[in-house]
Amino acid sequence: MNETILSVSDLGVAFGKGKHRQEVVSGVSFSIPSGKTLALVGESGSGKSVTCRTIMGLLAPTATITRGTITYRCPEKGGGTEDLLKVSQSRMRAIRGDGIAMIFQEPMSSLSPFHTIGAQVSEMLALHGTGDKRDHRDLCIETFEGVGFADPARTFDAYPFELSGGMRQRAMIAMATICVPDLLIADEPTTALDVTTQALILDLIQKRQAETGMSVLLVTHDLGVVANVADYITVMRKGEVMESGPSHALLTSPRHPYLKKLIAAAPAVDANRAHDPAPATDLIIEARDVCKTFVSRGRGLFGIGSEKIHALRDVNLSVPRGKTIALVGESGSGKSTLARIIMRDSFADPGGRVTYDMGSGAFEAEGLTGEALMQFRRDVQIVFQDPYSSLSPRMTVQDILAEPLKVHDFCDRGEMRARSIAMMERVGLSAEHLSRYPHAFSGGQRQRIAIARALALEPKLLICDEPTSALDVSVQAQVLDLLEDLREEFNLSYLFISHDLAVVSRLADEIAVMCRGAIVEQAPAKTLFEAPVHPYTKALMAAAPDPHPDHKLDLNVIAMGAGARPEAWPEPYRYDRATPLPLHEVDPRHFVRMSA
Amino acid sequence: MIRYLANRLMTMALTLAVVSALVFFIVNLPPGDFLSNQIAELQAQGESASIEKAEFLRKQYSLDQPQWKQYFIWLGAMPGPDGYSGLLQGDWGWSFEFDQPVSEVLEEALWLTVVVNLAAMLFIYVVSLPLGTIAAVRAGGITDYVVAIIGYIGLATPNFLLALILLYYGQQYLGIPIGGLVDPVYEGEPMSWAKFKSILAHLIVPTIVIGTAGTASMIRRLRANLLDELGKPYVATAKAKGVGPVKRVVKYPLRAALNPFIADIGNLLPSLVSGSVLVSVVLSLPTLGPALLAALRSQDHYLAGFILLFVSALTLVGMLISDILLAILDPRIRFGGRSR
Repeated sequence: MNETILSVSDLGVAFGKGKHRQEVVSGVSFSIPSGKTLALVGESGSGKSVTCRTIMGLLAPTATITRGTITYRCPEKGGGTEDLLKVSQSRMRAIRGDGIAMIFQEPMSSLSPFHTIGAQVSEMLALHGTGDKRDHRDLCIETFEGVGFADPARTFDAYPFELSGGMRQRAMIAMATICVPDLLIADEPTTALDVTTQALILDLIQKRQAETGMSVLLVTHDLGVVANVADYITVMRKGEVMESGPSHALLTSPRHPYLKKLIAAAPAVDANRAHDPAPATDLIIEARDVCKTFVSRGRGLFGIGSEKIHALRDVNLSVPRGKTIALVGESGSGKSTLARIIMRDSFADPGGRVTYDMGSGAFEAEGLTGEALMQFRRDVQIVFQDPYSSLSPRMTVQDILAEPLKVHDFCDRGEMRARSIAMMERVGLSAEHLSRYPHAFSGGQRQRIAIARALALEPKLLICDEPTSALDVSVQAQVLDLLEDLREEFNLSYLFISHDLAVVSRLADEIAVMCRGAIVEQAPAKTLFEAPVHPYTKALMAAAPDPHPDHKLDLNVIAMGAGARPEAWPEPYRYDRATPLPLHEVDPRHFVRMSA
Repeated sequence: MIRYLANRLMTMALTLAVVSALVFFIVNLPPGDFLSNQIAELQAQGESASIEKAEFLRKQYSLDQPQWKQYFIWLGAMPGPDGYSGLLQGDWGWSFEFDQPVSEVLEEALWLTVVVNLAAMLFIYVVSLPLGTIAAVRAGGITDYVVAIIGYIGLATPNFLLALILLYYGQQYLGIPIGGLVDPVYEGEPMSWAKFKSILAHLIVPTIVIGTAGTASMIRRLRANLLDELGKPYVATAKAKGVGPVKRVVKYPLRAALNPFIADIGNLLPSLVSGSVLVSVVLSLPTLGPALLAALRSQDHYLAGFILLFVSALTLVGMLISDILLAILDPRIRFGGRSR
């Protein structure tokens, strides 16, 4: 049964024409055994997406295939093989969807917004299947049930924008597998999803694989994901294959230095943490009873039927001077809303208070005006998630770094240049980079520039909003190192926001886990990692994939807390969204939202 | 949906009320009016009998009243010398220049304007939809450039020049009639099959001439929208499903690219009406454009006011139609309140 379903050999793909032609995939070979999962692993720019798009014939018109073959052994044709790079257009259309199906990274935009989920999924049957329309509907609904939709009949008539990201990805999986393909290509299928959702989607792909016997080509940058689902691994870098082999052997004893580096850089919870710091009383920020309610737009002229959405409810959080407090939660948990309130970008509902103390007495930000407000802006700076869009592409790095200095009239022109050079060198870049534009830098370098810009005004508090989640893992570790060094050197205090517990484990002194606008568990870092109490915290920890093949995801634990649905949590943690439970101090400084 | 429609109709009525006020005061902005001009002229000639008649008309049409009163009388919200008789009652006012009620002056022109403009709009949509789509799908290819050149020529050629050229060659080689919208034989006759055919033949040139500029810009816009949509991931999804090349473009991205296309209906109408003045003069089309021009020049203010109001009403109706079409075509608009 260990036949090869698809093999790629010596594939070369180039972009551009003439002098500007650049090979992005050069001499890639791998083969996918029937019924097994091959993971194509690599960081951004490694050519893994281009490779699988080539298999599907989805390359952009600017790309040219320079060499190689893609051999597909079609079981329906009695095991005869054909070269996908040479087959006719109409044969290729027949293979797409029926023989080889694909799911994409972005579940938000990979489905057409104009057609119902049912119409899009049943189109697969209309294209490749047989039988009449009524059978199609029944088969779709059956498949929807199989991929975990609670109300499959309603899903059939729903539009994509009515579903959450995880649900859309389930619909994509239903669509890709409804014709029972021989091979499923999954291009970063879980990268855009929350970790607990990711675990469930990975489980679903494996379940569908077991049911249909299809092979899977999984494209991912996450070795944790690989360790959980892959039978074989092919590691790519800069368009070339670095190392290939069975998953277990490769992950436990990597030979190639690049794979060794990748495994070492994979984020993991730091087990050997120092003891938790003593409780601090010198607080730079103290948020008390912060609530934020948005009113959703109702229907009709007068907004009848408008609904209150509690983005934040009764959040108490303080940041001691010189320490790092981490806010961890999935999308929609309210962590960015809290950051905006602390930035004084929006205000808490009446009753909540945020008090600051920059070293010269406590104050509240709401009434600040004039020079006091400018001083506050200097003291509180932010590093954003996406360094690709947070730096203006029309300004040189010099201008980017000097802009805050100019706005705040911080120093004279000569000093600006000197300061910019000093900041660049401090974040690990050099003075000659100053005259370049952001597009000349990699993601990690851009994030360093963003950090340098944030530090230019000598702030006292730095808010880091998912500063590493757009970066490759090997770069992520370097940026975290940099942030750690800077904290000591400039005596900064951090409010660190992340969806990933492993990322914050390095830096955080205290961690608050948020879900649906409320803190569900809060404790000093060591305590939280060693003795988590709340099922949601446990689910988050269990859902972070570990690159060691013997540590597979524990789906039972994840299912307990997944989906961020407080009403589905076990007792004594369950609560109705209208009336949340109080925070309960189970140990000194360890708070859990539960009924006592 | 019914509630939405009721809402829209109400805002439309409000908008029309505001527009009517604006139109009335702007038309009356230049000093004097048709009658006072005439009276001055008659006084210079010393014809006292006619002056009396003019004075009578001034009273009859409340031109001796303050302007805000004139407005409400025109609107029919205030009693004039003959009681309530204004737009709300269906009395469109009196044209001094033609010495006839406005309704009679414009009767023919109104529906001809609607016909000519609808034809021009249809022309724009029928021509630009396929050309724009082809240009986007073959972006960068020869077809794209050819379409672009045709479009630019359409944009750059003055309409009246195009009108003259088409008239000449149309008459010379195809026997298309020149000028007017109907053969003089049928003028004033009731509608018949022969008259209808004559109107169709006369419509060909005006439709093409008025439509070309709109077509050119519409092609460019559709091409740009469609190019954006073609790069979206859901198109790759469709391709990965094995959807054929034509269906892949028509079923998914073209539908998305149509949104601005439809939203333009409202904007297109007034620009067609005002843009076609020159063409109408050249082609001697009895539409609203030339009538408006004449009315404004001679300060025949009821006539001018009514035409302007009619064009605004046409715009509002166009907007309503495009909004309804958008809601039907785009589920995101239809269910905007349901999700999130």
